[in-house]
Amino acid sequence: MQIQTTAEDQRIAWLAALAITIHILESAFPSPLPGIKPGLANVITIVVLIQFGWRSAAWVSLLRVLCGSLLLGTFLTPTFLLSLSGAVCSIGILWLAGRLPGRGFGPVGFSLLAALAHTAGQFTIAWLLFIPHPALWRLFPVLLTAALLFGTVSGIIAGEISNRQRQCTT
Amino acid sequence: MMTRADWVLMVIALCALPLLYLHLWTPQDAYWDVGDTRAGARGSAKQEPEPSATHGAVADSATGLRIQIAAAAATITPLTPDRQVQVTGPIGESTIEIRAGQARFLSSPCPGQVCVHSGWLREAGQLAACLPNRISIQLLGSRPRFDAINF
Repeated sequence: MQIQTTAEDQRIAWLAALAITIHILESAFPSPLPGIKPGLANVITIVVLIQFGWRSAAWVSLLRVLCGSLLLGTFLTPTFLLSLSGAVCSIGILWLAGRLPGRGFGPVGFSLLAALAHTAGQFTIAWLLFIPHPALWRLFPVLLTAALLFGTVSGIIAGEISNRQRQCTT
Repeated sequence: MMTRADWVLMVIALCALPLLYLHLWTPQDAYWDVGDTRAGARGSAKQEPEPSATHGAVADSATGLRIQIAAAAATITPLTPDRQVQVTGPIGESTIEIRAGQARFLSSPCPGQVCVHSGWLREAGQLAACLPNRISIQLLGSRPRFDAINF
């Protein structure tokens, strides 16, 4: 039996593979603070969002979380749950952001929104499920600061990639 | 490369962050004091004279001692006067000593004696527990010294 794949399926698979690679490379670096990491794999999500639309971006993002966790051995662990909740939140906010009338957001805006939503969603899940202690909220603004920083940097990278790709194709 | 919406978002985020810090980082005695001292134990503890000066810097941070036995409701007791409190858990009687604004397990019927070896609790937030006898004690106060290692 052979599954019929479309060109879009294959494109999503390629891009997801790229995102997974970055995800795993990144997990090899130690983190200065639990909960803070650059999230460079989201660059791919943003590039895909801009070039191929929200549906592809959602696929790439969720596939990355799923396969990344399988490869890292965190599937169905708390880490996976946090990762998934973050991805779902950021994909949700990107869907909303895409509906904005006018010129809307550019790569930096999308990336920033996604990073903030990712952190906020993840944090809420962590607080609800794992550490329901009020003192945890002290960490919240710190994590958001990191999200702001890394979200902007990722957005700039994503914008640069999109620009160069556009130059290549024209 | 940045659209107007990007800039607006960035400015909003940059303005909101300091507010968040301000809101979440201002000292609030919500957790350590309020919920646990319904009976006004904090008030009565505050009216008591401060414990002896030997531990002055330490003693002013702890305002009470919470004693929890098994699943029963915790009791709050002031840190003065110096005394020994007998507490009965599932396997016997533990003795808790309160002296100079500090507290410790003086003796316990448990085999491991981990609670006794925990020593004196000196600062608000510190906790000692006896798992076999299901008793835990914790110093309460508005300015706990630690936050991440005891919850």
